[in-house]
Amino acid sequence: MTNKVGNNKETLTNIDKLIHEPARLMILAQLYVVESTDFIFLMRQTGLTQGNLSAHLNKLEAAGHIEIKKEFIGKRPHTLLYLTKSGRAAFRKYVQDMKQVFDGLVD
Amino acid sequence: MVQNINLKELEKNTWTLFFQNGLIDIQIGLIFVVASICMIFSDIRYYLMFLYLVPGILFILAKKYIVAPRMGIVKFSRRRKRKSAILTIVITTILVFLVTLTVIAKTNTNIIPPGIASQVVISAIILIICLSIAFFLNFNRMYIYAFLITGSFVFSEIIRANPGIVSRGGYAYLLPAVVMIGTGSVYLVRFLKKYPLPVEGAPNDK
Repeated sequence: MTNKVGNNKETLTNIDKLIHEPARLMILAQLYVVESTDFIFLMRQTGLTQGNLSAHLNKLEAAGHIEIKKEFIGKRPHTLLYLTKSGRAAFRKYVQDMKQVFDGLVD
Repeated sequence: MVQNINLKELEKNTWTLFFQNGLIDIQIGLIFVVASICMIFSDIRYYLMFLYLVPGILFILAKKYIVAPRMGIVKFSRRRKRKSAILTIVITTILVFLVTLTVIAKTNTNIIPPGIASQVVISAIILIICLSIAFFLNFNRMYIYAFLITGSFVFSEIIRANPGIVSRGGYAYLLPAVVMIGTGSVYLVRFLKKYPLPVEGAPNDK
């Protein structure tokens, strides 16, 4: 029992706090299930405001979890968002860690 | 905020978003209108074949100028693409089977007797194709359309077999067409209300 609690504590402290934030978790979950999306799509799906989403994306990009590609469609700028390989792996690890934490706590 | 994230459900929801704008319903409905026109004016149907391009062109333009600016663009995962590929294979196989069956039925009446039996087989195949589309694309309204389309085929065959007031079976396809275009229009209006155009130059400029 003590070991279980100890393991949970360890797992909890190892949880990626950058991903753990609800808005960023939503962004990563949305990007995880598709190949790529653009800014508007992500904004619609997450319900975040433009500024808020932009700030979170910058943090995720700085951590190397996502890649932001800027291009032009005609004369209009267009932002494409991808989950990087490391971002995908980090998200998967986060999900496993959280599962482990709750598996240990329930029952 | 999303309280509970189910990745499978999230992917499915993202995919089904593309049926919420009603464009597919309108496109299929328009194809049936064209099919109906071609059958009604069968004497000049070869000159009317170009009309089949109209629903496709309208769909592409509407996607580009109505849906994408409001909803954004998304590319789906390989798993989803694989599912679409399976659908294409299933439909192609069924169509090849249907064509082969039709040829056999016309050349050898011993295997498939003409009349009711062959029409039942064709109706079943049409139903299977439509249900496969509904299943593989998670396009739930297609289940209803599947029965409407099959029903209109049966109705069309009955009309053709008994020429009376209405001499051509093409009129039968107008019913599913009207239902699909009507449903699609309702969904399109809802979509336009739910997703207004974002402020000029704002979000994708980030």
